[in-house]
Amino acid sequence: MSAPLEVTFAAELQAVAGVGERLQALCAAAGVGADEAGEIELAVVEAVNNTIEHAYAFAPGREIQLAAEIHGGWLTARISDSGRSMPAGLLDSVPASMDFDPAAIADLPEGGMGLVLIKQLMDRVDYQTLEGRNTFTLARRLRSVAPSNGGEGH
Amino acid sequence: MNIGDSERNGVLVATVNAQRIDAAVAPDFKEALARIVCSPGKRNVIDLGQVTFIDSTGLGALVALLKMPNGPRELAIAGAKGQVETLFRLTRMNKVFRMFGTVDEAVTDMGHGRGVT
Repeated sequence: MSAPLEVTFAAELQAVAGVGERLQALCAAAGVGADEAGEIELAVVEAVNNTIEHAYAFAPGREIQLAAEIHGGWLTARISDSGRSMPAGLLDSVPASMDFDPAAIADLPEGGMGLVLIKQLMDRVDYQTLEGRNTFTLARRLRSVAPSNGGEGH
Repeated sequence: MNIGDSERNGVLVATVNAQRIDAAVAPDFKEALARIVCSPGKRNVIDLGQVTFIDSTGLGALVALLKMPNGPRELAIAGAKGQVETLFRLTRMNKVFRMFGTVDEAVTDMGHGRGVT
């Protein structure tokens, strides 16, 4: 059992490491294994990076909220912002894995991996816009924590 | 970013002395590595053994090195573990870079007299 995490932070890349630390602390308190906690942090960091780059286009003075909790064997993280929404249908159209020819060096992707990774790392994803506020919800059934240990139960 | 470099058995070893490679440091990461691994004709291994977290931006910086016109002839990764190894595997970049458990394994495989024990 661990207390939920709620943090509001500046939408800038320099702030992301600190948010990652808070998320790691949440995972550690719930007994999530180090490798799994790293995968959870990766998914959340990719979502936050996308928000900074696409929703806010690196504009200064904007904020992002992260709410995360571990309950009943699931990790749920909600990343919300008041910037430009992700285009409708984009999340559904994301491929299940990166598709490229490993031998074609000149054509290798240097970006565009974030949403693919998020869907690979999470069991459920959802994106909603309500009254100008976008909320990206990421949920993962924890592999390294038994449901009875992963939250306060029902 | 602090990146050490040494040459072992004809292989240039770039040691990343950092635990976290994310979007905030990826441009520095790429620039610092480019100064080391872009010597024409060299075989290179990047030691990620100290890195505990890397995001897709950091990985993209490594891919960008490969694509540089004067880029390295051979670029391998050593010491990727935990989340770092997972990122290479999920993105399939473990098919692009040769992956070694340790620098020693990489140097043995890539260096002069490869195959000789």
